[in-house]
Amino acid sequence: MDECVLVVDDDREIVRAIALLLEKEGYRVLRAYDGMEALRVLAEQEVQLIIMDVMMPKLDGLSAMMKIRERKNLPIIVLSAKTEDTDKILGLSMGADDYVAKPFNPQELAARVKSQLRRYTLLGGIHAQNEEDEIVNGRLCYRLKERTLYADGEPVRLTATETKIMELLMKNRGRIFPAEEIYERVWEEPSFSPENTVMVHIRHMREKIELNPKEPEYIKVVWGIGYKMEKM
Amino acid sequence: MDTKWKKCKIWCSVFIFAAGLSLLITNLVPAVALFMTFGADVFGEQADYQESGEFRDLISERLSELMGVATGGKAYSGYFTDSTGAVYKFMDESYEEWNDRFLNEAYEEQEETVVEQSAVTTDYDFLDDLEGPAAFGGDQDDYQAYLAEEQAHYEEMLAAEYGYAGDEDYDGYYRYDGYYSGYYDYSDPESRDAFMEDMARNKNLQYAVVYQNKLLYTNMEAYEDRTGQEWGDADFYESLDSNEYNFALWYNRAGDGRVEITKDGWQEDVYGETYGDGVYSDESRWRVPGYPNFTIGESAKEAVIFLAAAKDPKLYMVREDENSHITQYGGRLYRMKQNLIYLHSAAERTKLYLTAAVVLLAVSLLLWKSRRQGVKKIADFLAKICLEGKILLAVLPAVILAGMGSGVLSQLGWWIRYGYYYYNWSGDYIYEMRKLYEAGWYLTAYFWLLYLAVLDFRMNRNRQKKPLFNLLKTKDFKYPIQKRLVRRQRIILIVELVLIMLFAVSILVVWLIAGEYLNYLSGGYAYDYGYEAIAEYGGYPFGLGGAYLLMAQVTFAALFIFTLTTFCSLRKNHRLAVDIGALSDQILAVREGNLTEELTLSEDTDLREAADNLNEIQKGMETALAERVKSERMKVDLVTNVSHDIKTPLTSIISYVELLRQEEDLPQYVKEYIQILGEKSERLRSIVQDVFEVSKATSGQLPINMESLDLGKLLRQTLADMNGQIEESTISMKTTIPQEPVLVRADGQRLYRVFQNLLQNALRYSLEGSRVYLTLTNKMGEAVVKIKNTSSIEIADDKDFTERFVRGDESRTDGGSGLGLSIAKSFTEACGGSFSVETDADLFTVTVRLPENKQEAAIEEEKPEISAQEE
Repeated sequence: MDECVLVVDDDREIVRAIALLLEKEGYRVLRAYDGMEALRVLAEQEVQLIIMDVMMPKLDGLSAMMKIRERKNLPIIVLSAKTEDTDKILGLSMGADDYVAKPFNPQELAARVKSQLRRYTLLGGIHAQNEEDEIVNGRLCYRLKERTLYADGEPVRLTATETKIMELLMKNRGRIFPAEEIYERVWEEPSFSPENTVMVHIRHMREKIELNPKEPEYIKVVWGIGYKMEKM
Repeated sequence: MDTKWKKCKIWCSVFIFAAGLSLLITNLVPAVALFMTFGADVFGEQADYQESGEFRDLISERLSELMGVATGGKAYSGYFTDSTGAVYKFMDESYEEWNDRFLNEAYEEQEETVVEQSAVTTDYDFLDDLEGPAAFGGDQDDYQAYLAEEQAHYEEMLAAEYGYAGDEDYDGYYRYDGYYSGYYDYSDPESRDAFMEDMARNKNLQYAVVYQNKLLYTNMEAYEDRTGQEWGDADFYESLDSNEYNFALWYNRAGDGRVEITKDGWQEDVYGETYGDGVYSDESRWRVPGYPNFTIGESAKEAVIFLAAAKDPKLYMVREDENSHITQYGGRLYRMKQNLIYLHSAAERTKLYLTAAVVLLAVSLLLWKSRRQGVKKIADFLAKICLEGKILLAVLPAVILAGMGSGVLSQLGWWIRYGYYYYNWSGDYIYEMRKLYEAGWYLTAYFWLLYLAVLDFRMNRNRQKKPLFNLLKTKDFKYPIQKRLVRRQRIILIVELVLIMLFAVSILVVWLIAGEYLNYLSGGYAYDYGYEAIAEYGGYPFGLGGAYLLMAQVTFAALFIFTLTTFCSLRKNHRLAVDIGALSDQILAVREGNLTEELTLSEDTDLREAADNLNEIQKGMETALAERVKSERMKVDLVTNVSHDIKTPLTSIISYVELLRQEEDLPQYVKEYIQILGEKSERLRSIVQDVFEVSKATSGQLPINMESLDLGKLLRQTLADMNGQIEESTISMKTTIPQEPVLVRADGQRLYRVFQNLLQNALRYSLEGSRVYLTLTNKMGEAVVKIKNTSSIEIADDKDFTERFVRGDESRTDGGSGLGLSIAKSFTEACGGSFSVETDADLFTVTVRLPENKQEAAIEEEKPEISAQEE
């Protein structure tokens, strides 16, 4: 493991904290304190991932990201104190691979770094060979024949019921399923107040596949209607 | 069937009531008049005509006339002179005046009777063909002679027709049966003989005239052959059939100038000596000589006169030869009797009708319930008629009735004021009786009009009025105000113009077509025919018709002036209307949010000040709005910046706490410190996030994504989501959520936050081991969620828990941000619902109300089918 991560933030303490965390995880960490500096470092060194703040002096994060995207395809995680949905959408649409709001959970950030790097290094080429018995959705990939779910290329250990639910959701990404329907399809018997049962399984599945189970990205509740697998 | 019968009963009762009341009013007037005039007797047995004052008058007059005949003098009505020229009066002056007044009317009636009965028709057309002065070549004398000739011819004709000579000819006699025709001269034997010949033909009245003991005239068959012979002391009664002639008067039987009257074999107390003082007065029954104060001259004392009246008078008709007309004799007594018969039958009829009216009213009183329903139905019908229609319906008949009935009603007034004295002659009161019955009908019509008006006022007073103009008003709301104002005034102008046209046309038409009649009405007719008295008697300088005409002209002029004024004010108001329109448009513009454009009206208009004030308000509003927008923006900016500025150091804190946590070789107590630091920094993070959201929600900048969702499902999902927390706590949840969907329109994510906060609150602040009750009910188109829990700490009464940073426990050590309820409230309201908190001792109740979304129900059901097809 010799991946190199570039951390860019005008707050030196934050940079240092992130660096320490990632070094503990075994990554090599480069530091920069504004956009210009980040570009300079990138020109000199081989970097596999960038963590970058948005609001920085000299050159802000979004502008720097646009410049980087002109030449490089490496994953970029944007850090920001702006937590609005509109800010997230803006960041992601300008080339960020992930968006983490401040103040973040350090463990979550580490998990995201790991996920991004694995996809970049290990699965970088695999994206192309999309077979028919494979359903790919963002970090997730469900192989129908194996009845196995892969997250960031690694198999996820799901129980039989969880696998059934996952297969249903992965096959119908974006569609909302009422709890009754999930229950009837998976357990194959009429439901009576299935909300709790379904929710327990979904909570377990989230813990296995989501980077931050408290703020799930993939399996979402549509309040007052049902559950769905977000289409990435 | 039953309802049909009921309906029938209702209308029958109304009809009975109306018929009863109509009969009562119609007959009450003549009944009262009859009673006042004739007393109660008129309703009893049929009266004897010989008991009437009219009969006594006639007998007195005949006596007077026959005295004139006997003594060879002259006679007026009530006077006679003998051959010496001494005048005997039978009545005093005032009484005579009364008689004169009726001369005309009675005379006219007599004239009519004669014309009707005349077998000879005379050509009066020659009057129209009279030559003018031009035909005589301007020769005045010839023309005058011609006129005199024609005049003589005319008078001859009149004499032939009516049996009397021209107006000036009082020398001869008037027709015997024509009353009161003036003045008779019996000094000429020839004329006296002719007069008596006429009188003899009236067999209803038997008479014998004796003078100086010599029988002069008689029409009694038994004595006709003794005419001109000595009379002696023969008894007239002997040969009289007392069954046929039950009344007899014998003047001067004993040679004392007194009168003896026998009726039905009984001698009457002529002078009222038995029961009265025997002195002649206005009230005396008989106006005959013989009272101590009513004496007679010596010459008259030489006459003896006998008169007998038939019990049942008949008409005696005579036609002498081909050229003469039919003459009627005995008409007065006959009519006296006939009129009494008529009067009696009228009284009987009135009695019958009144009885019927009382019976009908009694029946309608018994059916009062149905009647009341019927009356209510009529009132309902009246309520449907618009106000203008009602006025028209009320005024038109009233005017028509006034026009037709005023004469009749004034007659009624006469009757009531003068009563019996006015109608001394039976023919007159029969005529007036008919008018009284007519008056009854008019009064009835007036009564019902008034009844309907009162009914409408009483029953429909509180109902919505339905004036016709309201229709116009609701219709013209689509026009701007200035047009509406002008239109409304235009209606008045149009109405006035139409009225003017109507007036002008009607006056013109009446003038052209009925000019002659108008002339008559205006009194010209009366002057033309010499009835100055009548014309003046009307009390108007131009007569009644002239007064009407003048009134019409004055009204026309007034209307014209009024219209002109309206037109002028309309022109003035037009400008005001335009200004009002501009002002109203400007108010609308301000309401729509246009605060920059000012309204400028010219200096001299009425609304200039109002426009200026509006401009001031506009300016003030603009400033206030700008300031408010600015301060709102500043507030949100402040919160955003502050939260951002807090977030950055917080990130460092959290990160380094994490790094610390990963340090292994730290003492245990340090690890505990680090644990606390970690927890508190997490809480700080959630508070910062909450503050941010609350400030956005209260400033209305929270993005809301409304969709149709099942509130029951949302609650179950929330409970499932929080199941872990619930199970960890000692609190148990008791939920009542209906299985069928309760659809509302809201932002699911926000609503989840609402209930998440509420449940967390309940879990956090409930008494250990107690229960939290969550219920969802759906009534009156509203979904109501109630969450009740028992508080673990005492709740202060006056606390508003939805205020920011308010919490039950003031010590602030419970881990809450104090924003939970505030956020719940803001989010609920952002979703269009209402949020309330109630505390009752330790019971804490939160109620969330959301309007139900029924329209989406159908769409919602279709959704699963569509998605199933996608598979």
